[in-house]
Amino acid sequence: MSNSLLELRDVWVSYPDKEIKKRNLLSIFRARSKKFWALKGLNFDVKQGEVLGVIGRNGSGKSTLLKLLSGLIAQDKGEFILRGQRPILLTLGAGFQPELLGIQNIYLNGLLLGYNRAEIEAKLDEIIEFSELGEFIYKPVRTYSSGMKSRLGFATAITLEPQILLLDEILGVGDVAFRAKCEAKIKEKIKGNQTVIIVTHSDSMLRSMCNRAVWIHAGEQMAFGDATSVAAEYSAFMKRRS
Amino acid sequence: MFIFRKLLMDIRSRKDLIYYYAIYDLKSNTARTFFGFLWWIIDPIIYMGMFYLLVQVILGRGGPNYGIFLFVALIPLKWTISTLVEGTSAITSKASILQQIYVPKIAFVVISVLKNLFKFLIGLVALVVFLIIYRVSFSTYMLEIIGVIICNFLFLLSLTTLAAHFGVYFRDLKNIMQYICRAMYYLSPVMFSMESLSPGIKLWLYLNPLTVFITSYRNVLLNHQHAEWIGLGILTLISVILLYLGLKLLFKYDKEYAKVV
Repeated sequence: MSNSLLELRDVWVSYPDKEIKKRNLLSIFRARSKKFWALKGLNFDVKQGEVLGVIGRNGSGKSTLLKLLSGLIAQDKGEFILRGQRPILLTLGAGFQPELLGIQNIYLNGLLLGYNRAEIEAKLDEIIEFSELGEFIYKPVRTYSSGMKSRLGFATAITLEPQILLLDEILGVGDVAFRAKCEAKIKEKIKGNQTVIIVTHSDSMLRSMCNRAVWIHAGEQMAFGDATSVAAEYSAFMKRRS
Repeated sequence: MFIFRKLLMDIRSRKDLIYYYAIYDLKSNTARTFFGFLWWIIDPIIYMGMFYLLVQVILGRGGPNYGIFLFVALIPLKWTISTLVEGTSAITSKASILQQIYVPKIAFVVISVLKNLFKFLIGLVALVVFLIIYRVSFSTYMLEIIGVIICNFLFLLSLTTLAAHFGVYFRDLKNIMQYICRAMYYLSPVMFSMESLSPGIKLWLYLNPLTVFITSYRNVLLNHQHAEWIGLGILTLISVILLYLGLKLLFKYDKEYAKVV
């Protein structure tokens, strides 16, 4: 599978099973005892230009998987092979500082995402235009409405063109018109050979947007393959449960 | 040696981030204040003024030139304390970013240290003004201060790296650090001079790294003497070892912090 951008081979991820509040001086030195396994042996890959869906119920390990894919955490066991850039989670304004101007926050957000100053500068006009913030870009972010903040965050992340885009559920971005614009932009990216990983709990989203899908349940991989067949398995499973 | 090369590589690859983040952080701290950037000058002056009032005016201690004697120690002391206390939360205070975007954690440590270095340099400007007011004559010994500052910086960087790591797993460290700093303050010759002490106590005080730094600052700025290079050399050696250990921890746990913050 040389054409896959990203590959997981029997990946296990654990969290220390102890509330941080209860940690005492001894536990720093004591070997870590209990572990909670959030992901248990995942095997799948993502190819250039495809849209991969990750489906599962709440608490199934989707967020952990997102963290793993975006490089926030590392696996305990198994292999996580990445060919090319690290996938970027489309966050809405992570690290925005309310006291700073919109335009300064574009730089800050872009730099945090791993781009350098020149790359951000090249895209600056496009970001401002897409965000539809107009003159507000020169005002502190604390004066923004929550919709404006999300718009700025979305515009920054999507315009900087990550090689692999991670999407968490349906984004609550601004008003109806702007949401449609975002969806159109994502669809345009998908058509333009953009690699996307979408995390969702809706099987209809799998059917409509994804090529292939992974279904995880309680940290275990239940199915991996063609999106429509995974969606069918998943919805059948959910019906049996309810 | 690999660890130190990785440190330089990480800093170089994120130099834009470190530079802008540090500047923006300083900016957003003063964004809504009336004096804005002037606070970095006002702050050390008020700080020094308070001590002057307490010791010289109210207690009537110290004698002539006590003010400048005090100020030369207070500015680096304040730098040390604020770097170390802030350092304990260098990673934890960035929890929301840590949970969403991957950034090498060393970047946050460097940002925290550089921010405080900047404030110190501003304080140094205030100090120069006071040196002029007190008519301290210039000597070439004063140039040695650059070396002293570099040693002091390295010392703070190494301790901050460790403090940032342990601050994640042991939140009480921030409180404890304030007491450690206070102890280091009272047990160093900030308010008194080393000459007034018995040799026995003197030796004990040298166990406190601040003693070496403060005596060195005073030597080069006020006494027309060399800095205590032997002491500084030992501290630099210790700093390099601590930095090595701190970086090792920080790189090893780089992807663990997001699980626990």
